[in-house]
Amino acid sequence: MYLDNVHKKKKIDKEGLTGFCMSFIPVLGFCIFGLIPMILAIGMAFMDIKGFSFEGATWNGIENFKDVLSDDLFWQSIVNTLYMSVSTFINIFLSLIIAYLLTKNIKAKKVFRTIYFVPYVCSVVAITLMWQWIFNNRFGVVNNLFKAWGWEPINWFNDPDWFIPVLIFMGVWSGTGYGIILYGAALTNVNSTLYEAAKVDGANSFKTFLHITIPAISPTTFYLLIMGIIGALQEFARPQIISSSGGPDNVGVTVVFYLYRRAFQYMEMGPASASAWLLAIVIIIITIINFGVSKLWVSYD
Amino acid sequence: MKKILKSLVAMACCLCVLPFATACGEDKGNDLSINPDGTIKPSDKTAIVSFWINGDDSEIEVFDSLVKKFNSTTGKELNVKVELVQRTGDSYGDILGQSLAQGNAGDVFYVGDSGYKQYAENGYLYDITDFIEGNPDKNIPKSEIYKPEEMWDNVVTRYKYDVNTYESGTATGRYYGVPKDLGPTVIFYNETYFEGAGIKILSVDEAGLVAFNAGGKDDRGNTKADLGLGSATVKEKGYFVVNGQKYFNNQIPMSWEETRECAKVVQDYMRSHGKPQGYGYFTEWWFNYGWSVGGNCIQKIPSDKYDCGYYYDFTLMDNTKNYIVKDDVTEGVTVNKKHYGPGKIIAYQDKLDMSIYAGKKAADGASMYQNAANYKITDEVKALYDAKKLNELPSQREAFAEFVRIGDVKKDGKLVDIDGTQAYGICPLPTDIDGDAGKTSEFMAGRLGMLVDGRWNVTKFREEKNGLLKGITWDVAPLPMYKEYDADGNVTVHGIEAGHSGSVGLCISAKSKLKVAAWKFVEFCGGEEGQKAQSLKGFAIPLQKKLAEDEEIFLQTNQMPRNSKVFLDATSYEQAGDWWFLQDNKWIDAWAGKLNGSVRNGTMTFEEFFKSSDYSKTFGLLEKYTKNK
Repeated sequence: MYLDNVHKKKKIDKEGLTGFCMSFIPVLGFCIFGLIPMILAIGMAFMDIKGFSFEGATWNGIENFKDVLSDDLFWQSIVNTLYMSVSTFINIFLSLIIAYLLTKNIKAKKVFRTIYFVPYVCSVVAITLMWQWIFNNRFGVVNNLFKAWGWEPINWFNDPDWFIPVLIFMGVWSGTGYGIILYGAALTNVNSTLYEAAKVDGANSFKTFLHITIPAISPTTFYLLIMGIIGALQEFARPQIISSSGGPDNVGVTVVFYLYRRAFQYMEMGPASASAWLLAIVIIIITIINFGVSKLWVSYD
Repeated sequence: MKKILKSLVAMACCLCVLPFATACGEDKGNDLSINPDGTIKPSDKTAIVSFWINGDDSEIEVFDSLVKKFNSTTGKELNVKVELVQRTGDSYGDILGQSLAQGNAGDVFYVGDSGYKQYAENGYLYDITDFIEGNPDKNIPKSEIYKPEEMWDNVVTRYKYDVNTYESGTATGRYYGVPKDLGPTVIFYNETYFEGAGIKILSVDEAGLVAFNAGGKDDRGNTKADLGLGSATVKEKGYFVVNGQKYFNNQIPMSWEETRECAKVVQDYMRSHGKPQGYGYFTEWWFNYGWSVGGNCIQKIPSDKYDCGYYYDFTLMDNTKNYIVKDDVTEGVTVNKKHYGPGKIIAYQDKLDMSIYAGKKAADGASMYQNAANYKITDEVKALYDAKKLNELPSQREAFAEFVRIGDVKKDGKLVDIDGTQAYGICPLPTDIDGDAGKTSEFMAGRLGMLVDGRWNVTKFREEKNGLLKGITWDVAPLPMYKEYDADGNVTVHGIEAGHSGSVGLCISAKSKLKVAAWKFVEFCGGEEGQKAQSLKGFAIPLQKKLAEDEEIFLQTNQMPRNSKVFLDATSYEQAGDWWFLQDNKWIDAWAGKLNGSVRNGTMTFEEFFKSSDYSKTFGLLEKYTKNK
């Protein structure tokens, strides 16, 4: 009995040590680049900080939150961000349609999947610059086509009404591939007996898709929705590349753009941290709501 | 398997620790020390000064050779070695700010216009005043190499800043950097297009017009007869037509009207000669227009209700007329107990009656803002105008409208009205030009007839002599100026020559451990030797006036641009852009988005902009720059 215990303990120690070592690096990474900055950001959000240094910093209560919440640009940045996040829903819808079509017997299915996925793995900077040229007011392909068809060219990036729709379009183009791959896997894993039962019951293709396929792949939809919304709420690179000044009428200023500007251009780490936490709270609330509502429509059966 | 696993874990742990170990182990040598007699004692262990630079290839090339020269001369003598670190990217300023805060920026680095004041206030920049002016208490002698008194005052004093009063160039200010260079803005024009459009070039300044009209030669050796001017008298016009022949004088500023006429002629030529996307003119800055009539976007209003003694008024849309003392009123005039000589514009604070708000603080109510709606020209100024001692100039708002009007602002394919007058369509909209690189590329690609930009372009344009600009002749001319003429073409009313010049500073990190060594390099760059090297490459105007006026070092009339003296004239009157006015750009960002968007697109009228929250909230933001004093 005693010997058994010793042997077991030794085994656990070895496994534990290996496990600890294996997890140490990512945990360390999270602590350095995630946990510590988060804790510092909480502190800074309640402090009056000069530049980036804690030297001479003083507590100022909720002043930074008041400052951010009373700033019109912050609220505009929230509206801008939410508007841009429309791309998430379009992405999910298009991904599902394309993935479904790719489950059919069509030629070069893998080639299509690859083509759709390529934009997703490309550099955001490269893609954004490419679209910037395509939509260039004077030389862009789109406006030149418009001119050739006798239509009036649109000043895509200089017109506040068009700036975000173009960004949404770019987001859909580059993000759909990811959804297609996930939906592709989910669709092939739907239990075939369900389809057979539906067929026996006389259900047509649309009804089968609506009542069997969609519920069966709802966990994937839920995953794409959660990750898509979180990603969309953190949008920064694309509007910043297109217009580092925030676009016409500041329509390109997203929440992260806003906090970046306050932190690194105005050196106001207090309000920047406050806005970062406000964004985090918004994301948490939306995610909680999503999880709550998911019970109504996500099926894990 | 276990062994492999153990090895992998050990290796990963080592990799994690390596960066810290490397950082700890960095040895940059010892700093120089100053002897009691003020001489510098060489380092006993080579001081390795890191120098962060952010620029294009031509700039890197210039500074690389400058660093090598320093290392082989002064550096060798003092045992200092400078290492050039290229930091690229548009977000250099952001990266620099973070690095300064973390204490890991270079010992010497570039600081752009918009970051300087913030960094100085946050204590990131080392105060180098003692090195420049000397400090007997510390046995530091006055610099014999970097001498502000021999330099362009309006540029050097930008770097003399008082972090307590937020004022530049005052006696209490301290130097936290030296100008790396200075780049006044002028018009770069494509002379080949001008000639193609039938415009003849003459090159004679205001002072030389009498001699030229009497049969003398212009700076290109042409007489009136050579240019087909016959018996016509050449007036102070930048662009004019004589007997159907068009002329462009590249030494006299064009009026606003001449600018658009000339641009239109060149644009029409370009579009009918293989450049359908061409534009006659491009500028992205309103300063030239507003400042030429005495306007500005903010004005400092004295007020004893503020601890600092003033507050800022946002005046971009000020619609009150401006006034300038007539040239022939040699004795000048006195307004609000201040003397104004001939050709001087009456200041905003003196032309307007602000007594209705005297004694109130900005915080007392927003009604005190929207100044132009309430302020009135003082009786004193009106009386001087009635007595014909002053000329009336357009308001800041009118000047700004003229700037917006040059844009190709269209709706449904037709040019729209900007503040009551139709746009001219001679200048592409800001987002059609892809940043700084975009506008120079457009000019080199032959899609811009005239480009308003800085001296820094000269190196690039010269390099493209056998490339993009092969076969193209280009030169420079002064920025436009507000002018009115009588029926004979004589100037009756004029504004002032105005524009902005860019300048990047060389600063030393307050956390550098090699401050003296770093200073010796900065001093070298700002001294005659460093400035000469930059100038010879065409890159910048030397800080030392005598070098700037030297034919071989700067003017170099044997190569393009032949009219380089325009840069020198511009340097004497141009000032820093609005991003330099206050500590940061927060107050600008508040309205610039709307302005560069809807307003310049023509989808928002001036009146709507004036009434927008983007405009009005700027007043509140400006107050934040005063109340903490």
